[in-house]
Amino acid sequence: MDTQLKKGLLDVCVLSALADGESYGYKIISDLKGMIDISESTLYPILRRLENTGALETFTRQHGGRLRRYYLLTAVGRERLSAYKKDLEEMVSIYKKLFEGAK
Amino acid sequence: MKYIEWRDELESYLTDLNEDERKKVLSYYAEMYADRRDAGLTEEEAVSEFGPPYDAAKKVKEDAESDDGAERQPEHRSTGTFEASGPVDSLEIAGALGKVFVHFYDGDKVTAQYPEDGLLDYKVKEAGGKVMITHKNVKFRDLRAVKKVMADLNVFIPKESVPDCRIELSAGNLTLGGGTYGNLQITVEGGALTAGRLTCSDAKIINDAGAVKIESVICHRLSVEANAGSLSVGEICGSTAELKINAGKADIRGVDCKRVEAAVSMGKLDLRLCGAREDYDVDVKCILSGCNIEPSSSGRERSIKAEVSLGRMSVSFER
Repeated sequence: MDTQLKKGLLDVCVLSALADGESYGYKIISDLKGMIDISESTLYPILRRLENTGALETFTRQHGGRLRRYYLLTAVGRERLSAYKKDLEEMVSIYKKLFEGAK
Repeated sequence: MKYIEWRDELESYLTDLNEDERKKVLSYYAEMYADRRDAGLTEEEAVSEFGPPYDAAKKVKEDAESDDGAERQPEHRSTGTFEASGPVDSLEIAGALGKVFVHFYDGDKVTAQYPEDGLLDYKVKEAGGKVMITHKNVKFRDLRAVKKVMADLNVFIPKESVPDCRIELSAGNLTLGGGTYGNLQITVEGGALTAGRLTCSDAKIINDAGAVKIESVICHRLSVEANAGSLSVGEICGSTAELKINAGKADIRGVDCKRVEAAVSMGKLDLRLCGAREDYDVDVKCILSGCNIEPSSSGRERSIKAEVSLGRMSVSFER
C-alpha cells in the first residue's frame, strides 16, 4: 500500500481502537491484528504524534505490580475520528461511482 | 537476543534525544515486553518481534523530525553505499562529522552507508584488507550548512570479524556498537562519543575536547588521555590501565586491573577500583593538590601509581 495512504489509515485505526474507551499499547496492537499489520515500532510514533497534537491523553495505572500507560481519546481526537470517517465515506462513494460506473 | 541487550542497544541510538523523550521510548518498550511475556511469549520471541533496535530508533526519530517541521531533511540528500570485497582487518574512520554509527551485524562483510551531500562527502577506500572512510575537510563557516544536510554515516562490521579500528571524531555524535575489535584507537576532537561494551586487545582513547561515555572496556592494555572535556567509563577489565588527565573531568568506575597508572596534571579524576584498599600497593605523589589515599607498599598483586600535580584525584574501592 502507498506509504502516505497507509500512514493516514494507521492514524484512523489507532483512533478507532480507542473509540470505546481507554486502552494500552499491547491491546491496541492485538485489537488491530487481522485488520492491519502494525508493529510496536510503528505504533510508538503514531501514539506520540496523536498525543502531541492533542488527540489523546495518557495516564498510568498499576497493573500486576508494574505501571501500564493507558491512552484515552480527547474531544479533539473524537472530532478527528469523525472527520476521518466522513472523508472516508466520501472517498468510498467516489470510488464506487468510478468503478461501478465503469462496468 | 536478550531483552536487556536489545534495550541497551536501542538506548545507545537515542543519545541525541532529550532525557524525557528517551525515557518515554524505553518505558514504552519495557511495557510492551512485559505484556508480551504475560501473553506467554518467550524472551527470544518477544524481542525478535520488536525487530532490530536500530530500526526502532530510526522510526522514533523520523517522526520526531517530521513533527518539528523546520528540521526536515533536505531533498537533495543522497547516500552512497560501500561493500568490502573481502575480509577487513583494519578500519579507519577519520574526521567524522554529523552522526556516525558503528554496528556489529550478522553479515559477513564490512559495509557502509555514507552521505554524499557535497558538504558531507565521505570517501571510502579499500586496499589490502584496510578500509578507510575519510571526510573531506569542512571549513568552520560551513559547519552550519553541514548541520542542515546532516545524514547518518552507518558502518556495519560482521560480528565474527575483529578488525583493528581507528576512529577520529571531529564533531557530531558517534555511537560505537559493543563488540570485539582488534586494536582500538579512538580520538575525539569534539562532539560526543557513546560506546557500548568494547572488547579488544589494546585500546587507546584520547579525548581532546568532547564528551566520551563508554559502558565498558575489556582489553589487555588500556590507555586513556583526557585533555579536556568529560570522560566516563563504567567498567574496565584488563591488566594495565594508564590514565592521563591533563584537564577536564574523568569518572572511571569498576576498574579491575592489575596495574593502574594515573597522571593528573589539572582537572579531576574519580577512580573506583575493584577490590579492597588492602589489595593494592599504592604509590601516590601529590605536588600541589589533593588525593584521598596514602602511599603504602608491601608487594601486593595489584598496584596503583599516580602523580597528581594540580588537579584532584579521588580513589574509592568496591568489592
